[in-house]
Amino acid sequence: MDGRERDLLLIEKSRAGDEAAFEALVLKYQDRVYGICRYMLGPADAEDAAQETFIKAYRNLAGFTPAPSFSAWITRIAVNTSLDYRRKHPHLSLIRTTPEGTEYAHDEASGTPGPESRLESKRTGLAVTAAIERLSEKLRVVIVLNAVEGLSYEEISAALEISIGTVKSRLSRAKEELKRLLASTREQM
Amino acid sequence: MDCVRARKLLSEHVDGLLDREAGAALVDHLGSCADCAQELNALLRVRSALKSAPGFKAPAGFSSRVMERIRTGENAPAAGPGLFGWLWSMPMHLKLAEAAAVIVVTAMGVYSAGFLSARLLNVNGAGEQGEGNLLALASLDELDTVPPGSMGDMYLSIKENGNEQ
Repeated sequence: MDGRERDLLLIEKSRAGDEAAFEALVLKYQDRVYGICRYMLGPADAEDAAQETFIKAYRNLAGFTPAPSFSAWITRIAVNTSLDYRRKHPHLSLIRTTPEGTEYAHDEASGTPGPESRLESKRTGLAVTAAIERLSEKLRVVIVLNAVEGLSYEEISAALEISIGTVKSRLSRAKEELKRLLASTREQM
Repeated sequence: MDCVRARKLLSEHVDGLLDREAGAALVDHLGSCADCAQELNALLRVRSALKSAPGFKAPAGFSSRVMERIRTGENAPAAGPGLFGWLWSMPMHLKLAEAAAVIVVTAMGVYSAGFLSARLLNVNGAGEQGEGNLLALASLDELDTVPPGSMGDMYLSIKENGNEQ
């Protein structure tokens, strides 16, 4: 049974009232959903939006259809929920500035070896996160889904209900913009 | 391949998604075009930088909190704004305009009621000092508009005669 078939089985069980089945879906997709909300909204509202994403999914399980997939569906809900939050709070920031300097309060980042490379990685990570924050919503969403969450062009196309050509175009524009922003950051340092 | 076409393919090339034919043509172009090669290097730096972008994990206990909200019924559709919710959500200048309109309509109603009662006082000969019996003024007789000889008049006559019997 592949991932998609397992998701469908869990959805059927959830519809029948099996709470453990829905919790299994939450556990499977919570990092992706939280990551999307985190990049779109910053630390303060990320968990709230992520919780709301799963609650919306639970409320609407009866209307879920297998095409394209639960993965695309929950991703779309996360993106739309984040965009709704942004409309209500247009000045959300991913970056927090404290007396000690500029930082982002990521709870757990994956795969950072060694203290020196971790420090350098953190500096670059801050610069990239700041650059991502300056992208428009449309470009930010695709770059987060592709470069951070690892979704393929096809998965992004299914999640956002846009053509693969549009995905490619937005990714290309996002990278061009990031190139310009990161170059500007290097000049300032 | 020209530079315009090459630039469009660079992003996919960086992601390793070009088919063999397009990839070969692009590589061939990059071998002879310093500008496009420089552009490729810049995109490779962006890809490298993006690898440093943190992949956030959901906070500890996240799934438990979601399930708790679902169990306690917070999954129910949010209640609508209520009967007068639209009023509270209006901009302040519209609220003030609404309030002013309510005051004007109420004042007109009070004035009209005073005008009507003054007219009734005069009809009943109570004089402008308002010495008439207000209960008499409130009699439905003042509001009776059934013309004599009409069906309504005949009906009322039948009812009255029936009651007398």
